[in-house]
Parts: sequence; C-alpha cells; structure tokens
Amino acid sequence: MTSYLLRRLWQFAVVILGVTAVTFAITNLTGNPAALLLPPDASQAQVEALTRRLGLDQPLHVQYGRFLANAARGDFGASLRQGRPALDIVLERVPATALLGLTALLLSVVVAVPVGTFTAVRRGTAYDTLATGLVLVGQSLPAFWLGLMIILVFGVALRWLPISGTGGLLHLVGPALTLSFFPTARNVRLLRSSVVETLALDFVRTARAKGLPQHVIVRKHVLRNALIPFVTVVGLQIGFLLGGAVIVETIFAWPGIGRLMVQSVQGRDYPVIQAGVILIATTFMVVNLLTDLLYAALNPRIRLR
Amino acid sequence: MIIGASSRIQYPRWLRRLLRSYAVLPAFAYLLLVVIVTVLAPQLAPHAPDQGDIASRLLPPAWAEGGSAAHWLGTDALGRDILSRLIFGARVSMIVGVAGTLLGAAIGIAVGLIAGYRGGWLDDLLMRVADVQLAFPFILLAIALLVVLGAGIGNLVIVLGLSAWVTFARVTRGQVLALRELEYVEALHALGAGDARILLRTILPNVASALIVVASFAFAEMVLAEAALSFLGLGVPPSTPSWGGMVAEGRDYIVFAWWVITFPGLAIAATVLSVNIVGDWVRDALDTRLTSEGAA
Repeated sequence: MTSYLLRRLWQFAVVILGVTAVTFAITNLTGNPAALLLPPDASQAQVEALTRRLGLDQPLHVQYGRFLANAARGDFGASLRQGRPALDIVLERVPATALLGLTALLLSVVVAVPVGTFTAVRRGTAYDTLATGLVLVGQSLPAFWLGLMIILVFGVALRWLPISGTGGLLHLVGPALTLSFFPTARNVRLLRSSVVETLALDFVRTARAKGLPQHVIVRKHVLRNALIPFVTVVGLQIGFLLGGAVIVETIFAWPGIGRLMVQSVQGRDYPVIQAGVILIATTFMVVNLLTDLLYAALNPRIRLR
Repeated sequence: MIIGASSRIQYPRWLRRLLRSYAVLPAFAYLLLVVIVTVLAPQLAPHAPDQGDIASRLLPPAWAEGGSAAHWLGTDALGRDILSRLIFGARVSMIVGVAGTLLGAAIGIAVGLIAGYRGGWLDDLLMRVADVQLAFPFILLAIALLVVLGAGIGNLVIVLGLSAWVTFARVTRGQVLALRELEYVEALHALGAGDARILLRTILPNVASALIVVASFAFAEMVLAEAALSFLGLGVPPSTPSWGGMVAEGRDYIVFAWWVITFPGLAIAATVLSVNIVGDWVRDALDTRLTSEGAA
C-alpha cells in the first residue's frame, strides 16, 4: 500500500507540473500581456518599459520558473480587470460552484440508485426498455440547450422557477437539474450493468437457494457489491461536473468558477485564467487520487501493483 | 414449415440484428438523411441561409398561428429561414465531427501503438501526457485554445482532434499490450519481420474493431462539443450557420419565439442520439462474447 501511495503521489506531482506548464504555455502564446495592461493608445516605449518591468523580456524558462515559484505560494498576480489578487477572485467563486456541483451529484445518485437497480432486476421488461431509452436520450441532449428548455418551460411558460441568477433555493433547481442530467443518465446505465453482473454471481444463487426474499437479496447482497465500482465512477464525475459548470453557469448566470472562466477568457484576464485552471485541475486530480484510494480500501480483492 | 425454412434467404447475423432492433433502423435513416442534407444543402434549402427579410422576422412555424407556408419552421430575429439554416448547419456539424474524429484517431492510434509496443520510458512519458490532458476539463481547454488560435472551422477541428486523442491512445495501447505477447506476434519476430510491419499489418487490424466503437462515440461527443463552443461564440464565425450558433442567437428571443432555439437543439440531440444508438449496435455486433447470446 505504501509503495502504491508513493507511486501515485509521484505521478500526481508530474501531472501537476505538466498542468502548470500547459497553462503557462497557452496564456503566453497569445502575445504580450503588457500590451493588454496598458490603454490601447500607449506608445511602443511604454509597452517596452512595462514588458521589462514585468520580466516578460526574459527567456521563457526563466519566466516559467518564476511563475511556478509564485504559483506554489498561491500568487498568480493581480487580475488585469479588477486589480485584486487573481486567486482571491477565483476562491470567492468556489462556494457557488461547489453548491451547484454537489447538488447535481447528489441528484444524480438519488435518481440513479433506485432506477438503475430496478431496471437491472426487471431486465427485459417494458420498464427496462423505457428507462434505457430515456437514458440514451439523456446522454444525447446538449446541456446548453437543455438549460434553455428548462428556462423556457419552467421559467417562462409555467413561471415555477426564476430564469437566472442566485437567491433562494428555487434558483438552484434549474442549473442543478441541467447539470445533473448527463451524469444521471450515465449513472443509471453504470449501476444497471453493475447490478446485472452481480445478480449472475454464485453467492446470489446461494442466497436464493437459502430462500431469502428478493428485496433482501438485492439490498443486502447485490447492491453492496454493485456499489463499489459505482462509488469510484461517481467520484470521477467531479471533473465532468466542473467542466459542465462552465456551460450551465453561463446560461443561468450562476456566479461560480465556470462563468468566471468564460468571462476571464473573453476579457483575456490571464492571471485569473491561470489561477482558475490550475485550481480546477488540481481539485480534479486530488479527487481522482482519493477515489482510487477509496476503491482500494473498499475492495480488498484489488491487488495494488 | 421445413420447406419454408430451407428456401428462406439466410441473411448474415449482423443484418438480422439490424432488422430486429427497433431503434437502429430509424437512427441509421436519420444519419443518412443528415449526410444527404450535408452534401445537397444548396439544392435542398428553400432559401439562402443568410438571406434575411426584416418584414418577416420571428415568424412562427407554418402550422402555428401566424405562420407562413414559405417558412416551414419559421424565421429567426433577422427574418432568415430556420429550415434553410438547419440544413446548412448540418454541414458544420458533420465536417467538424468527421474531421475532428479522424485527427483524434490518427494521433491517438499512433501514440497508442508506439506506447504499447515500445513500452518503457516512452510509454510512461506518453501516458503522463495523457494524464495531464485529462486533468483539464475538456471545455476549459478547448475555450483557452480557441481564444489563442481564434474561432473558425479549421481551428475547431484541431482543438477537438487534440482533445480526443487520449481515448484512442488508451484503447489502442491496451489492445497492443495484450496482442504483443501472443504467439503469432512472437513468431513474426522470429521470422525477422520489422516492427513497422508487425504494428501496421498484424496488430492494427486486430485493434480496428474496438477503435470503430471509440470513433463513433468520439464523433457524437464532437457534435455536442462543436455546438457548445459555437453556442459560447468560440466555434464557427456567426456568418456561418451552425446548430449551436443558432441556439445562441435564439437565446435572447426565448420568451416569445420558442422555435428559434427548439429546432436546432432537436437536430443536435437527434444526431447525437442516432450516433450513440448505432455505436451501441456496432459494439454489440463486433463483440464476439455477446454474439452467442444475441443469436439465441
């Protein structure tokens, strides 16, 4: 276990280094940030002076080294638009995205566990066909369109939900529903196949032979085993939710990291982009690492190489 | 009955399964329609896609009150015919989907073959690069790259292709690792066959069926991604009609003109759904473990 942990931590460090390099490269390919900091009518001499002052005239590897050293201390520089530290601006948005993402995740699990189990137990029936069909449709709907349709139907036509922004609990319903749609469809599919596989195992046959009622077999024997792969995939969906939040937050004007990223990209606010991207990627990788370790802890059969 | 059975034409199993399935035929038919529309757009579209008429702006579909038979699916805020724009928009989805998938497949298969066959430090390096890419939420990476490169179909294809190679590489690598140890591959080595020959003529054909399935799902994802990026204004330029762009343009009129965003959204959903259904079917048809069950 210790060697596995060390190996995973080493990989983690290598990938984080790669992430910072890519982020640095992308934001430095777009031309001279000094020109963006100055008003459009600034003279060439002024641009050159600022370029020197910011150290942008030095070789790229020197700049990257300094970027890395600063990033390690949480210093990504000041936002080009707001003048405040970039990391602060990003961190302010974390609670909104966390609330939205966790609600969507919870929603998808609450729907997927009963539906996935039921369709697996009733495999081949009309219910199964209907649910499987709905799942396929759910995986095919573009999130941005689904969000607008939810606004159109529940916000504009029925007036049940607010159209955008934040406020009460009702504001959360539209974006959370939109964001949860795709993971729900995927989770139903995953749990269904996991339960179907488990139902075919010998210990289930033994339980049947003992005369246990079906609901006890499903709850106590099948679900406990089928949930192991399910838990790990749900963990991995945090990354998808962070990405999906970009679109959903934009549509519903939800003040989270995703919307901030789109706004910063459009406004070319590089320090904020760098801080946001590295924070999102790191979060995603920490979750991945924890999920892997949880998987190993949950399932003693897994041999850690 | 016996006579009937013996005189019946024996269709191949894949065709029987195709005919048996309720969903696969409509999905195939829809995709065929999209392909035809893509090729024949100028002939099929009733109006020019960018020809606006302010007098007939935001007309509802022909069957709704106030609709006009000249515009079956209504018009948008600039008075442009929605059906014509949908037809031309199919081109963007198809071109980006096909070209992006091909690019992703080309890079991914090459990386997967090399990583799996060579192993060692090169394998480690390539797989860490894949990990780095997977650590970024795709849409964020695509947005950042498109801001650097600029919007446009060509750049969209490059960005989507670059985002798709990881899955192709991982699947190829996994298969190569398994195949590399097989006796007939070792036998080829012993006979003096070169690495390139073994990789391209022996291993690649054995990996192909798995890759076809990966490609179908990659294609569906690209249609969705293109629409999402065009919706954010980072895909094709606004002058080119695209399904995602149409949804974005209709967003401001959602309160009184539902049709502007509804039809392009349905077109995207139907395309992705059809590709997913066909992809599922191809996977089942190619998976030999399932064929005995399917034949029963």
